[in-house]
Amino acid sequence: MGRRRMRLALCYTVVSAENKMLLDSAKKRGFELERIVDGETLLAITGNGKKEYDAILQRSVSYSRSQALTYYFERQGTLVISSYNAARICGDKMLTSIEIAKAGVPTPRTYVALTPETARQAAQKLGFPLVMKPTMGSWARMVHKINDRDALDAALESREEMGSPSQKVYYLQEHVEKPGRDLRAFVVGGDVVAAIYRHSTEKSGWLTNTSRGGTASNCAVTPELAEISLKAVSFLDEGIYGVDLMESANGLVVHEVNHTTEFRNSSPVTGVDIGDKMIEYFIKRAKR
Amino acid sequence: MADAECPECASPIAIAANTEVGEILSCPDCGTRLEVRALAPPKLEKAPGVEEDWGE
Repeated sequence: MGRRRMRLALCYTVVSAENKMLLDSAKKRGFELERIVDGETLLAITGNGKKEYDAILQRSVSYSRSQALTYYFERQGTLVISSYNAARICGDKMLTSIEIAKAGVPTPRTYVALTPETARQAAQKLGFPLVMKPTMGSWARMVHKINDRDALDAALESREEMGSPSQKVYYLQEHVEKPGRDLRAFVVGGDVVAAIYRHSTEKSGWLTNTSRGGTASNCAVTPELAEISLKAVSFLDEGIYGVDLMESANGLVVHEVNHTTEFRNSSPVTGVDIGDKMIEYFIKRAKR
Repeated sequence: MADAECPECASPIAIAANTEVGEILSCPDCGTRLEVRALAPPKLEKAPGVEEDWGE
């Protein structure tokens, strides 16, 4: 009797450049990934619960959709990379910071405040400048460098008046003086397969995100970088992560871990086909 | 390569052969982000806006 063909799928919100690369890589390796478009998927909560897929590579950009779909498919017995628990932690900066700190990974001093009054208390402890972020979301949206009390008050008032409830959770972090760049390390399974420097530009201002106009260049994966990056995902299920680091006066510090890391600008500068590394790992895990 | 029309400004937009349904394109004339909803024939709609919880 022949072996049953594995059902592998890519779950996504839109067909991004990364998702096209992943579909192509899988095809080159002889696997046609089925497509799960998050917004078009109906979850049969009281259905038969039968396993539909053997493994899903989860690339939804929506945290809420990703959480719903990943939990649903994991409960069917499907391997989802990255896992529900990992995405829950990575998708919330407060949870990530708690776990990073508990794991003993160097990280900037951080407070979370739930009212403007306690946010001001956090600022007194941190001093200015500081960085204030929403706990949810990405691509540096609403990530503010706050230089003084006046700027803090303005940012707090804007969020109180116009923000959603989740934007009224104030995540405040020590501002790390960095040399015009920070780092992202790509962790695939137990390996750091590549890393980039992300440089700030005239367009990106103090930020370095390539989505905001920052630029990428290759960064050598030194033993120090590999060690701290792997430690920064040690509290997560094995999977695929982008670890964001900064070069502080005291060495590397980790400030974020991403569970659906983008790589379109990173493969060309590193010379590493990061998407193919992800697919190779995904197929290997599916076969386990 | 087929042509579609921007639903915002009616400019013609070339659809490359390897385009996928669900892909996001930008109108070269008005800059609107457009989602490819169908390929035969090509159909474009205004892409969904980035939501608060979107990210990597």
